[in-house]
Amino acid sequence: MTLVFEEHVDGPATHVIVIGVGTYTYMPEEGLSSPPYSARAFANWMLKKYRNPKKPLASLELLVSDAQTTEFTLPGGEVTCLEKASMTKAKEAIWQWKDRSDGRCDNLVIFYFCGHGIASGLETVLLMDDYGRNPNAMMENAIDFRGFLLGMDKCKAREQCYFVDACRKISETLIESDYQGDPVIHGSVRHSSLGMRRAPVYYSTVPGGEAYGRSNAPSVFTEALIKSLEGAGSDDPEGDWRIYTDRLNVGITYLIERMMGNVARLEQICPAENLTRITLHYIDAKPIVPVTIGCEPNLANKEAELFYSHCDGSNKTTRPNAQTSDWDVDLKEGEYRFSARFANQNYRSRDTDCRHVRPPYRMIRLEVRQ
Amino acid sequence: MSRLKLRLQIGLEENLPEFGVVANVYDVSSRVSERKSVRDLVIPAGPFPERFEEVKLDPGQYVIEAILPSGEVISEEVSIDESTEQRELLLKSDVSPHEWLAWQHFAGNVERSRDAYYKRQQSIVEQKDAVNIRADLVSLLTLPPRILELDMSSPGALVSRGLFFALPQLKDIDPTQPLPDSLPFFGVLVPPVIRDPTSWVYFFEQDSTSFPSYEVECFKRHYLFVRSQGIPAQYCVLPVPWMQADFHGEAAAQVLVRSIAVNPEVSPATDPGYRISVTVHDHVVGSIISYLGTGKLQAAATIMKKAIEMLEEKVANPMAAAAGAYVLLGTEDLSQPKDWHDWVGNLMKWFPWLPDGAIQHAWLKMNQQDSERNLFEARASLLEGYRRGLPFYSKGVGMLRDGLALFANDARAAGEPDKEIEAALKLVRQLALRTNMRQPFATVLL
Repeated sequence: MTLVFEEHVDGPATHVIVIGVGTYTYMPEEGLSSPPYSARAFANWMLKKYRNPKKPLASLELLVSDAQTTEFTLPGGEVTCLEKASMTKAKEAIWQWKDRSDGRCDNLVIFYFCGHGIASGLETVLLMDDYGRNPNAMMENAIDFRGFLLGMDKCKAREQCYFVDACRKISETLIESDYQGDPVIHGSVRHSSLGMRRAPVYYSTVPGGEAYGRSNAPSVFTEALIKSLEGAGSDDPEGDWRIYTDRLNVGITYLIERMMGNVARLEQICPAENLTRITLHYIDAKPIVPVTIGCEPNLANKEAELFYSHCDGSNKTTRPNAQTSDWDVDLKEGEYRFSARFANQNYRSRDTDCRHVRPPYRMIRLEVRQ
Repeated sequence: MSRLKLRLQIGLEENLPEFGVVANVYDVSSRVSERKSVRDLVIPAGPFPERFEEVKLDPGQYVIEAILPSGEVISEEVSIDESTEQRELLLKSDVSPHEWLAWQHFAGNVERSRDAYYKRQQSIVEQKDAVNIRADLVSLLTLPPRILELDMSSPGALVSRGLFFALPQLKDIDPTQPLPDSLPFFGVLVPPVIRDPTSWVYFFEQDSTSFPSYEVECFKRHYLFVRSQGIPAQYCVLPVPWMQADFHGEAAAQVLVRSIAVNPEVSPATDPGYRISVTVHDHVVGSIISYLGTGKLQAAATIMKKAIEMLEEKVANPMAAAAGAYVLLGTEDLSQPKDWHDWVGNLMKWFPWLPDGAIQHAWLKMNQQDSERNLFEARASLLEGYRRGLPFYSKGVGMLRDGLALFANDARAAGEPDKEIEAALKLVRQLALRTNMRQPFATVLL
């Protein structure tokens, strides 16, 4: 079964498909431990935390190829068996997802993929778990993602959001091949003229391999995405806090950089296409904001006792150990005071005034030069 | 009401232009129900201290943020009290590793922190991955398809259309040697103006005081070839001469070539060994192009609101107008008639050397499906765009590829493959595979 959630919604709704490929039957050496964790984490977030009163979640398709288990525990505790993300199953699931989404123009669709990808230039190909079955046709059992995006213009839902968390390898194969995979849905110039389609696409180029220490855990991109959905990608132009697709990218980019530190290469920072605005999610409470606290000069960090508190001095939290790096914390939107104390006279202790912390992120620099 | 005057300080070098950046003013006062924030402002950014964008605000506490094309957010908090008549706030972005990289830093073409830049530079130098590059300027007079009908697969057509990637003989040329005379073009070696161990910067402008005529049949197009030993060569479109969209004279095109360490974990894709990034110092559309390059269409559209009249009415620079048209094509409902649709039609008609105008016109027609004639015109415009050669913008490469693919799909589904479209699609697919999606101006792997 690939449909793990379905609920009738009167009016516009959200339809989601999540694909995670961690095992490759015909390329066992290319297996990845992270995609099953990433796909489950994103699906779990959608099932447990996604809130969109104007377009509630109506369906979620989940396909995971996982060497460890085929099970998935639903929010109610029920355990279901997942289908593997073979090309046939993925195509069937995509078609059903698209058919369901076709019900209304004001539906929202979300596509998420985590696994191996091949990319070159403007083209991206997503590899399903039976990729490589035919060595004479290396692009079989792979989705031509650009072609798929074009084809999705046939879908009536005018709001579409795509997350592609795929490493990018062996692109030479793609350049040499005349065939770039199966678009699954063939685009047509005679599309339905349903009005403007908003279809932002977020790509990750962070490798899914072990080099970035993400074995048996969600990928850096997916972790940054989920964190951004909880606050960094939000704004409150209408009074309440909502995640907007154009803000989401700012949050993801910052969080990837924060997680990877100076290891982050420029080409690994979340590239995006067509960043127009869609309201994706409504935050129930206050958004969680990534905050980076550090001394100026940076060297002072290792001698500083860094702490923050509410403006009235309550809820004081101190950095456990002084380190050279800045201190990364996640705070609820609101007002805080930030401080640096020094036991010696090399630097000047410093307290900020009351500072407002709001999305997408906040950098607090404490000037401590004597 | 008090007046808050805002600007963003970027770089100190006077040769940087002033340009617009998207900013928001958030009211964070305690009176939640009465909060009055101001969003989607365009504030001036650059090295000059004279100009500000002014907003009128009630007394209260405000967080001001500017969002750069790189995704960097610069924010400050200010307090406005009853007695404040006017206050100036200078947001500062001062983390660019070098003053001469300020614009590239703004555009997102170098690491966002100085530490990351220098660590990477150090690691490249230590691993001896830094490459010695050779850059040649290639200039060619482009004859429009209606004057010179060429078989697009012939070497002459490929060269005159800037589709060098399809010439196999170019791939094997010794990168230490000049481009050979035997090819139907030659290059002029250009030295970088500024460099450090891993970054080379080139400036291109004609230094002409007279306004160039863009409304010509034949236009000289320029490309920069970058080559190095053992690394595939790349070339990029040079959008020169670039006259500022508000008639304020010529703006320089700046090219950064940045060494990239080889990482076996990441496919070299379109950045093997080094990356080429082109920016233009245009204070009207420079930041629109930078936002476009990082996919931030919404932000680009915010700047466009201020620039649209300038671009729409005068078409001082069709390359600048084409950048604006890409933003509008990506953010507006194309099925509804708008004034700017005529402007796109004019880009196609008046500038027969500009592939982007024809491609954009095709997409407008594809979205106005009130008659078969529109689809007929769309197909013809796409093929016209293809015959005009390498689009100036990567976005144009993508839209050409997608448009051709849609027509090809329909013809195949009808059981009557469209040979003309199929031939164009075959070449354009190869181009799309070699075009760097992260660069606004077309940058192509040989």
